[in-house]
Amino acid sequence: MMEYTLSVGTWMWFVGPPVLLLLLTLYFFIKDKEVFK
Amino acid sequence: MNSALVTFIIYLVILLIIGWIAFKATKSYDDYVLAGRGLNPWVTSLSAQASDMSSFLLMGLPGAAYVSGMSSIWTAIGLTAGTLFNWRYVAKRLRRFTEITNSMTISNFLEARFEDESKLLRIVTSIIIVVFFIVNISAELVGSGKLLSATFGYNYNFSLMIGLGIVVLYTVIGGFFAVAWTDFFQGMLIFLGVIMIPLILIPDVGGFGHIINEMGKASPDLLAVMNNESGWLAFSGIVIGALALSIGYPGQPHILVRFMAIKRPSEMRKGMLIAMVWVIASLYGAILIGLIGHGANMNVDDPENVIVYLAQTFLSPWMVGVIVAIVMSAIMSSVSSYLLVAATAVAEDFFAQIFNKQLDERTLKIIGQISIVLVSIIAFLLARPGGFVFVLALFAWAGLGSSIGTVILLSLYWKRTTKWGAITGLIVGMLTTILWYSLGLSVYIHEIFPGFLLSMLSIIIVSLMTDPPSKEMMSALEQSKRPLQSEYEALEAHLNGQE
Repeated sequence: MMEYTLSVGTWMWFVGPPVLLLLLTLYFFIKDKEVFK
Repeated sequence: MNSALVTFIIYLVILLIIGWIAFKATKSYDDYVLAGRGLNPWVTSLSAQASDMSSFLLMGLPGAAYVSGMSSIWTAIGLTAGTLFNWRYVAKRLRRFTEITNSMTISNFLEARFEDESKLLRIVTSIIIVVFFIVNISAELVGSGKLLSATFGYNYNFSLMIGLGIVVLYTVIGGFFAVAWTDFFQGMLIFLGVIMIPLILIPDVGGFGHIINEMGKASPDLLAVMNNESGWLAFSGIVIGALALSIGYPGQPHILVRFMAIKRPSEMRKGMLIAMVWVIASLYGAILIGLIGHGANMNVDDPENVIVYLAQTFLSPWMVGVIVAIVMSAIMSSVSSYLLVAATAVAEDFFAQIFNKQLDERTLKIIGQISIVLVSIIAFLLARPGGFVFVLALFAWAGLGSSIGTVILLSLYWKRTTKWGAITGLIVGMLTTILWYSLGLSVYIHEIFPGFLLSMLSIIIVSLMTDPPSKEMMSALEQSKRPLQSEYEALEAHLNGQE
């Protein structure tokens, strides 16, 4: 019986997008701090 | 009485207590419709997210993940990107501009932005809001009816009435305060749920490796980023479908009013961060719940109820009550927001305009409360036959995104947008969505794309053909790009320790 596992590509697909979007949010969060200057 | 029901009733009582406290805190009509523009970033953020995520989050998305596996991640990406865009590029400008023009609702805002004295813009906007929100509310009611009848075995109509009755009660008595704070409570509950449920269930079903193996055995397609059926249809269905969700965000009035209610615009960045953590955890948690369904070796008759089947198979009865409360939280937080926005539109944009005189705050509030009951009765009647929840909800999402969404974006970012441009854009966007959907063209490409594009084009063309907005409006728009005087004063007071 064949065993199925996740390929590295699918793993990255699963974890990559949320991590990237969270990093982008952090970048905006830090950038927007200077709002009163 | 079984223990699942006891837990669920405790949840409902907590909602009513919050409604009662909000009722005591509501002094004026401004409080009733916008919480006096005094929300902190936590409540603003969780309330916006909980209103945004409906039964789609814990019924639709786990169902989609169960049926299509890994490719359902496209949906999570679309929704997360749309959320980020809305918080970063729409929220702050809208909050500031509505303070400058003293607008409490979206139709108020558009009327002020386009200096429209004819009431036409206000009436068109509110018709769009009421029509699509009634569709939204009845879609959510169908979801709650399915859920409660599947869990507690009540008949469908009675199940519809329990969910709706409680929401109507706390929305009527407590207004925006109640809606925002119950949303906050429900948002926290959903967050805990989407983190805890996979953590408890993944070991119970035999680990993540086992789930993946079972998915592969069921169909290797479930492990693919794009399902095997290649070609334009699959691509437009999966990838473009996900993107379609994201461009609809700026047109959702129930989310936009949350932005308008935050106390300090400078705190929007904090709200954005909280919202993004919440939305990423929730969407991925929901997808995991759907995938766990494959590892559980159980009968899944209706994929949208996979969360309930998992709870009934693996958890104690009182935890089943908690899970139902969590799913109902996602539903009720959206319904209460739809109700309040639709009712404010009916009260302010129809009644107050038809009678054409200044109604006092007390009368407006009572008309608002009667409108909530009226809107919910219509939605209830539409929900009674049951039906497909998510097709309808997605259609309403597209209708709002391609009419109000395009107008909001251009009204904030393109100064030259004119009243006639906006009115044309609203009507073209709405009609294109309805026609595209009714002609069955949605199988090729989702209705939001032609709707959004044609609406955008028509706003630009008609705006360029009509007179530009006044100099005062141009300068008000310029002002909304920077912190307002009130923000500097608040900051100064804060630094001097007066706050």
